Amino acid sequence: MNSSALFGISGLVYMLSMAVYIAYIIFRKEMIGRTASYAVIAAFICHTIAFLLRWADFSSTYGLGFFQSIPITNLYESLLFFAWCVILGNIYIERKYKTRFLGAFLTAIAGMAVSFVDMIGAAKGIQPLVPALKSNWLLAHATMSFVAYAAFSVSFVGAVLHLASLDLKKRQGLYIFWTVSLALFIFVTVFVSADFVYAISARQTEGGYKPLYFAINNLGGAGWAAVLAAYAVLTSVVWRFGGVLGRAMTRFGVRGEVMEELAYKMVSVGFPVFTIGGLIFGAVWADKAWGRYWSWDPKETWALITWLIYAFYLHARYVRNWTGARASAIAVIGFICTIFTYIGVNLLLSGLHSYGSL
Amino acid sequence: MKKILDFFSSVKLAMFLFVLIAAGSSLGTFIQQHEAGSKSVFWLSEKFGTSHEQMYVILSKIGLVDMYGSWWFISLLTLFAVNLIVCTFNRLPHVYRQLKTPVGINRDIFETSKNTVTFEAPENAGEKITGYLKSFSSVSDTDGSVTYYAAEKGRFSRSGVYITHLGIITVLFAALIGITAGFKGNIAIVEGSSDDVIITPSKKEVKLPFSIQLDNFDVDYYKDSVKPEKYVSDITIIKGDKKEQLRLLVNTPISYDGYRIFQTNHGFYAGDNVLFTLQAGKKGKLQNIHSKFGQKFGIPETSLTAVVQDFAPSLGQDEKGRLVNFNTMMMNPAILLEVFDENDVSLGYKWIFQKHEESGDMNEFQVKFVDVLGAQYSVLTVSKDPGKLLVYIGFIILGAGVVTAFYFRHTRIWVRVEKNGSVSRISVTADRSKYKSAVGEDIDRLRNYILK
Ligand code: HEM
Repeated sequence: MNSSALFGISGLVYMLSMAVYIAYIIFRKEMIGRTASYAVIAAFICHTIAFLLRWADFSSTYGLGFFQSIPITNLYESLLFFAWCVILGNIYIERKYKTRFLGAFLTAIAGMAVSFVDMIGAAKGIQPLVPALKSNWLLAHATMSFVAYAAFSVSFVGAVLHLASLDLKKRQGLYIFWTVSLALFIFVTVFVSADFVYAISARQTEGGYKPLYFAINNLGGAGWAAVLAAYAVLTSVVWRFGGVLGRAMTRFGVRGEVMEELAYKMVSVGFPVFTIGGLIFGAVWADKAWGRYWSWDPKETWALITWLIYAFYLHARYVRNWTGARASAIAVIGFICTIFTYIGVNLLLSGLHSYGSL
Repeated sequence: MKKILDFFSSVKLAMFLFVLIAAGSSLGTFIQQHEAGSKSVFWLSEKFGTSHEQMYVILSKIGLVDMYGSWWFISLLTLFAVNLIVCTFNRLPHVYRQLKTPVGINRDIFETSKNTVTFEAPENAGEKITGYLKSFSSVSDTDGSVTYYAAEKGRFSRSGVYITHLGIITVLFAALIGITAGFKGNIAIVEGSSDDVIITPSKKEVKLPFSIQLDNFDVDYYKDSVKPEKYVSDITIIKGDKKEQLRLLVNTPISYDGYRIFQTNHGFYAGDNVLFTLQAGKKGKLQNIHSKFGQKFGIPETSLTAVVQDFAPSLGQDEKGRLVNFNTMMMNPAILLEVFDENDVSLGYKWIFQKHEESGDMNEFQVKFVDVLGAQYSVLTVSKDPGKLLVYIGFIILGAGVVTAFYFRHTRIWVRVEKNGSVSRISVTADRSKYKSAVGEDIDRLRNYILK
């Protein structure tokens, strides 16, 4: 069995589990929920084995040391690792908070990440490393950044659920804010996947697929208008039916304050990792490879912005006792910045971080 | 005075600055810095109906093309540093007291705290409690039949916030030293030549106290791939009459005399001094020839002459079969040779590839393209940053700070044991520095331990 097949299987199971979790929320049958949990754990084990296999493969292919060959060297591999961390978060939450309610969201994030990668034939092969990536700091910097991104994703789910639990009026700014953010999140995932499927069917993936590259180059004015219209429709659906989520939470006894604290906890877990791994190790690596620890490269700058937003969140929550809706809204903004740092920068801005630019 | 101090130490100001700095630095990622020809400049000039040169000048004036060095951005950072310093030092006495004061017996807390849990336990509860509190630092006191305990763990973690802040102050200070007293610049050296002047990003020239000579430059590519595996610059550093030969690879910079030298880039430069090494002559009897562009040489044992007219570092065919030079990366170097007969009449042109010997086979003779010297240059970055050591110290402080602040917490537990014959009435309450809503867990853990 090779690692990519195993990755594929786990991604597929995550996606299926998402459906099962949703069924669980709709039908409220304990059995269904348990099925989803076990499936996720099985897929997680599979995912872990695949990861180790690829690691070993990488090590023997390039004859690199053990620590230099952790398979996190391009966007695809990093997505796989990111998904792994998110699922780990899901397992933790189910045990610690005794609720399966978040499963639907977390498996959706992980499943998208893995199956998205799995469909990309080109990425499955092990790709050569460019010289600037051959460094032990890569391991520390990249790995820790993705752990932090995963923690921030979980905090995003907590924050959205907290906002959903507040029973806000449809015209209230905060209600609009969280429904629009959730819609944006769903939309971006679906759009990137659709772009990808389209690119595959048009055989445009040779030499590696670049997310949205195809859409950006081939969508004309009408195409973009359709995309925007689709986004508007999705947003209004989420806006119209957002209240359903809060009511479902009540039925499952998932309390809003608990979700708020979960969001805080996850930021607290992610922030130090991001500070050390993302910013400090990134700076050290830059110093080793480019001779300066900080160069205002777009990727670096966006990491700093994300960091500042979470610093804002922590000070607001910890020092000025913002709990409640405002704090969660900041956590959502923090996550949007995170995603932009992770993917948006590579797609839309140019910079030195060839790493991740596919 | 108090008001000013309050203003500069307020967290409100800090939050304001977080947002401003975040928003400000994002601007610089959308408008490419130091580039008059960037897309954003064209886009803006179109929108405002100006020429793009005009737009660039306007953007320079309001500090958007050298944004991170502009007066307004520097002011924001300075204000931020002042805020952080004033706030941290303002609170230091308070924190110091907190850190120095161990938890004390508190006889009233069981009535005032809303977390208090009271339950009955068998006689041996006292031993159980001292057993449990072994991993804490604790004190106890007895009033007749009532015993009080106070215990705590992780008091030091309260310093984490301030260590974090100190780390950031250190990094900012070190960056200031780097900006004012350090410099960095690039130097491009063609194979075989030497130079001692670097160009800084603001286009200033700085003369180094030594000169660097590039002896050889090579790029190795992964097999069948355009991905480079390794860049190698072999250099000689010449200072007075001292010479030192060194090898530069990506990720392994050289330190020399307090300067750091890095491999940054490389390129192709076909100047007049490019020297080609060829082998030519009758098949099986080739002789070495060195030649430059446009320099005629005779092909041994024939009456023909030839001249190198062109050079392409990466020649290949496009999808229509036309010859194109794909890039300047020396992936498939080739020369264009023009051959003349004894009357100097041109017989035609032929591309000869270094990596494909058969391309040099002619009817009566053969030409091999062996090597080319002086057509590549290597770009090195030379930097000097007297603040670098301090930056690293700041990183260590900052890292230690966030770990202390987030991965440890200060937990305090107070216990009261009222002996009453063979049963004891026990009251427990606790407090912790974060996730206060989970204080119940700390209490439950102790209760379960006693009742086990
Ligand atoms: C990017 C810069 C900064 C970082 C990374 C940072 C980091 C932190 C962290 C990690 C905490 C603890 C929060 C928690 O445990 O949830 C904290 C608390 C705090 N920060 Fe900052 N901080 C920064 C800038 C500032 C600034 C500029 C001020 C100026 C007013 C400030 C004032 C405070 C105060 C007053 C506390 C609470 C301290 C306490 O409760 O004893 N911080 N900071």
